[in-house]
Amino acid sequence: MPKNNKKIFLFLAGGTCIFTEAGHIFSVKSQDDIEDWLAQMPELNILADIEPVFISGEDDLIGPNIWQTIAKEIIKRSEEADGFVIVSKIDQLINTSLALTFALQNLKKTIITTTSRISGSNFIDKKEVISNLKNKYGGLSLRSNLINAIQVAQQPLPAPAIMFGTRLIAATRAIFDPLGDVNVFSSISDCWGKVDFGINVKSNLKYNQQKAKIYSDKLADILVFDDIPGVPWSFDRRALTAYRGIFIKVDSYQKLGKNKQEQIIKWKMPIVLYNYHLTSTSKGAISVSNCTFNTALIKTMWALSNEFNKKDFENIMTQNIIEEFLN
Amino acid sequence: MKIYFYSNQYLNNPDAKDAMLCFKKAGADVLNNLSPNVDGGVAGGSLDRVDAFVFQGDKLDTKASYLIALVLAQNKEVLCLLPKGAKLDTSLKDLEADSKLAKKIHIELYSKDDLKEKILSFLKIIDNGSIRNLFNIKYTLRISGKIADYLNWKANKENIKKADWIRDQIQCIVQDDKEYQEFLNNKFNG
Repeated sequence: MPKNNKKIFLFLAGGTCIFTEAGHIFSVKSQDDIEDWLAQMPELNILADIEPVFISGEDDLIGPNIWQTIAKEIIKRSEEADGFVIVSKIDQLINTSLALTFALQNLKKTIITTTSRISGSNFIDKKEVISNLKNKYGGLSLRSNLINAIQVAQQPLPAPAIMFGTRLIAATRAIFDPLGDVNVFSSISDCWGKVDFGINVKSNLKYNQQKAKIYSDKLADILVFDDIPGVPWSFDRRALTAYRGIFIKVDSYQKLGKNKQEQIIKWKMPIVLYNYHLTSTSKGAISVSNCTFNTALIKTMWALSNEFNKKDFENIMTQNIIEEFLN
Repeated sequence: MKIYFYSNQYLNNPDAKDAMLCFKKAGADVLNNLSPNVDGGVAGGSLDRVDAFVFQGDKLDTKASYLIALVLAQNKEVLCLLPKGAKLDTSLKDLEADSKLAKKIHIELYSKDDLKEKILSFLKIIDNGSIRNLFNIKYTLRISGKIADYLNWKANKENIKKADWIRDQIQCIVQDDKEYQEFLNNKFNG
């Protein structure tokens, strides 16, 4: 091992599928699997002093509970660490990265998330997908992604970012693009870094100098749905009491129908209307645009957590907290 | 065949020049970090598209370690060319001792006299390596309507994808082409 290796904590929370030498798929389902899993990738050890931390298994659900655990574990280890790499499921990777971005603001440690191309330990239904990936890429991309992630985690970045394929993307700018070839995540603005014959990270990136703000509460449960113009909303009011707020993805050019606008007023709960381009206003709801869907969603869950007074909700949602808005 | 050649001895390094020339003479396409104005590669290039990685120098640096790890993770071959007398890096020793990676990482202590021989042996290994059998090169081919009709008919009849059928046919032709097989056998004999 080279001298002066940096200490990188490797958090495992799903998304850990790799091909073994024998051509089988192996993933971390429990703490006991970690040693064998790491032994499949001895090349990681020439990059850094890696300490694995088990968060959840390959088949566990990733959501607010896991995000809260990851944030707490990062804080616990932040003095000792030079950086953090979080491996988690591909379908929730953007949300995981965003949850950490809102929870751990201005942390002076780099957090990189990455994943395998598939997740879940049941492979029967994914047989053809796996076979195609093996033919096309020779694997599930996690090994390369991890190496790139460990390398980038040793450099200062202002906020958590996703490393996948040849792109390093800020969590607030990432969108899922499953049809992408090598890259399944795109960025709505410039990438923070690109891989060609090395990793080229933008030279102006550094830790935020402001004091770190840590929010350790679990993100709030909210009801999320897409509005279809002309189709009424039929909710039992009692069912809505299970949620702290409602997040509605709306059409960018059509106003909400009159009945729907009246429903929003009657519900008397925090409601967000989201569209990337623009949203029409509706009394009793906050319109959010000019940021990614995932960013608006996770920000809403964060702003409705116990950390804040409900009265501050509108104020928080319209503020540019972590440079989530494009302009 | 594409090779990425990396050296951290930027100045006065005739061995690197000799090694690259040797790869080129053997027909390999060599990308490198030493040529001016390429900044470690070529525009639009990527380590994903090379078949093997070659390090030449006395001692690994951070970037070399990273590139070696990345190439090994992609299941590609790595050649480390160290001048005779150089002390082997502990991280390289660890990799060489690992049962999984020992097959992929080739550490060679060279002198001026045997540099060419070591390079040609390595080329033979990568030419037969698993990565060269991956179907990862995209090929656009224009065909006539009649050929398309035949491909559709054949694929349907044999319940096989058209691309798979074409690949199988080409592989059969390659196997049966004695002249080509002879060429392959002598390809890297200098």
